[in-house]
Amino acid sequence: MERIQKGKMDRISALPDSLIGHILSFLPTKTAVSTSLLSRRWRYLWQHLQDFNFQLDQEDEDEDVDEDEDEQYDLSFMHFSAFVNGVLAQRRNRDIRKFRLSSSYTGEATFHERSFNYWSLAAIGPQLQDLNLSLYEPYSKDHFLWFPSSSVLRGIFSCTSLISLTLDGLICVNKISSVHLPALRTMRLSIYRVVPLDKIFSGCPILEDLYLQYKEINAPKIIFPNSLKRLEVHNCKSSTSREVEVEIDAPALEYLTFFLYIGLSQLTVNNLHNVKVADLDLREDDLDYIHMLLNALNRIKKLHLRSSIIECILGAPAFDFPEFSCLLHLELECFNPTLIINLLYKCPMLQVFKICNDGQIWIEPTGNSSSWTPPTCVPDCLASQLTKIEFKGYKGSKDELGFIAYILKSGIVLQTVTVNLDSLKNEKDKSKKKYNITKELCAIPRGSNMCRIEIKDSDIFPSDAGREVHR
Amino acid sequence: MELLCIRQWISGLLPTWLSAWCIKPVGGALVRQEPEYILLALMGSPLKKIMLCSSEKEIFSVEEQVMVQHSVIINNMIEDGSYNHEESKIPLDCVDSKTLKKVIDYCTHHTHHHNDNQEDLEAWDAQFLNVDSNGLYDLLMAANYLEIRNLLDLIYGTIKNMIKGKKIDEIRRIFNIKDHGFTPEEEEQNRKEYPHFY
Repeated sequence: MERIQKGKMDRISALPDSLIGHILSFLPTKTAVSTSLLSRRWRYLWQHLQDFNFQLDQEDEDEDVDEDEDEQYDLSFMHFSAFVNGVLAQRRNRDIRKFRLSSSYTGEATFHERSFNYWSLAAIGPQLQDLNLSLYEPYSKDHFLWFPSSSVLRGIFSCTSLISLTLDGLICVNKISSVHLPALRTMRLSIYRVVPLDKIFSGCPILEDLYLQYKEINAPKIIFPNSLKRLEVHNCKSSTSREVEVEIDAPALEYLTFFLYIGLSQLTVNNLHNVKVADLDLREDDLDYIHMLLNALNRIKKLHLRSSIIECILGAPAFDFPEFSCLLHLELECFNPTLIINLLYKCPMLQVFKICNDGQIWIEPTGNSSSWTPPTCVPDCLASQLTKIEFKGYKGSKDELGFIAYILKSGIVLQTVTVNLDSLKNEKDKSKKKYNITKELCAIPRGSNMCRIEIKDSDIFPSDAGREVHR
Repeated sequence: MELLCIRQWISGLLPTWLSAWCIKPVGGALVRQEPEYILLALMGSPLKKIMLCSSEKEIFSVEEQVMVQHSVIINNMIEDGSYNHEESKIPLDCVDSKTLKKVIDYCTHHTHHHNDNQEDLEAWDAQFLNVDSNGLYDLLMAANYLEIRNLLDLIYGTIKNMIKGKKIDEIRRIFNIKDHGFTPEEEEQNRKEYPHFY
């Protein structure tokens, strides 16, 4: 939305320097520096910046398209490097507060390495609060890795003013000697090689927000810091590591995202009663661990269980879910009516329930007849609390129809039932199928007067607006 | 609309001398005191309120909790005791009434609705910032003076989007930068050296 000042004054240039400086600090540095072309007033304002955001844009390639890909990237990096050096040289403020660097890293090792080392050293200082280094490979080749020099590593990991640290991509931090980050609250690590986690955690006494994405863990045991309020662990599905031992004891933890696909050799969880939101995906044969984890999270308000963990649970004939007495919002990445009903019995306060059946879990085909019979005892939440249900990946099978019919009949306080038909988009006769499904669903008798069925179909309504069918 | 009727009803309940007190001159300015709060005060459960005075000498009464949560300046004033509840008002000479009302709106909404989900809050914020450009800068200066972090970030975000990705000529047009102050030679030099910015 463009806001053009109607024939009035140039108010933005009249703002005090400090406010303009703030505005510039929100822009990518290239744009901020370009404001020096706006007018005399703006010419030198960018030089007082203490927050820098350098991004190597791939669009900035030279017009010479005939050149080799390698050369193209190297040339654009050279221009980028000249720009960064120019900005760092002309800045008026010695101390940098925020430094963000996002660049490619190729085998032209010496030049790249030196540049990154020098730039990192320029950033490290007594006022550095936010450091974000992100190196990616520009084209698919072997992974090169940047090994920061020892002075850079020492500088980063003993920066007493640092509040937020992000290291992403082709950076190797194996050779850290000691870690002293007394002010660090946020850390995001998504680097390829091994990270000495225990060394890092021991040096971050007030770490609150941890995001960890990795492929290989060489450490046999990970003990997460107990100051955490937010923990996100993403393990790539293609990992080949051995099993790992995990310990989480975090009384302040409120948000937990835990994706682990390499199996647990041991799991210890304590004091997770404050966790409000959890998103879990585990590939784990030992159901005791899954049980332990869910038990520890029994005061949770919002829970999302993804396909791998559900697959494991389905492996056991009668998995006993703990009672989730505070659960308000539940999302499951599968459709298995028996499992769902078992779980609903244990969630007396549930208000919102979402199913996302994207076909990742293979369920025995049941042919044309429904193999599921509705339970005789209606779950408490269905009778008194459940107001909103969403079903993604609806295909119109007998089981699915039977389940929705049961929900609509027994859900006497239901307000909205949303069914998403996008999974039918590759089927032949899809319009006919969708029409039939819509007819079927609307014909089901509803137990709730206020209940409204919403059909979402991005073929007809690409902007994701649903077509509503009122009672 | 209902609030007005309720207020009239409550005013009707109050003894005449008290309802007349709802609008009374205090130190040369008119004090707006909503009658429901007087009633609550009589009932013995007062919502602690503070008075903010705009540059046009209009006084606004706001819940203390709301302002303390958002404005660092006001929070400091209350904490170090320089604000006396019974009689004093906080003079904000660089904020006019229209802007002060907007600021109070923002703080009140965000205090009362802080448990709402993110999309609803963002939608409300977008609607809130739907002001003319002069109003935007007035809000910015007020938020800066009162040190209201989240309102500042919101406005900075909006202005940043007005600049990001645009060419110099376009930015000059949007912000009405009519006279760039460069000599013709300097301007020509700039355009030659950095053509992709224009």
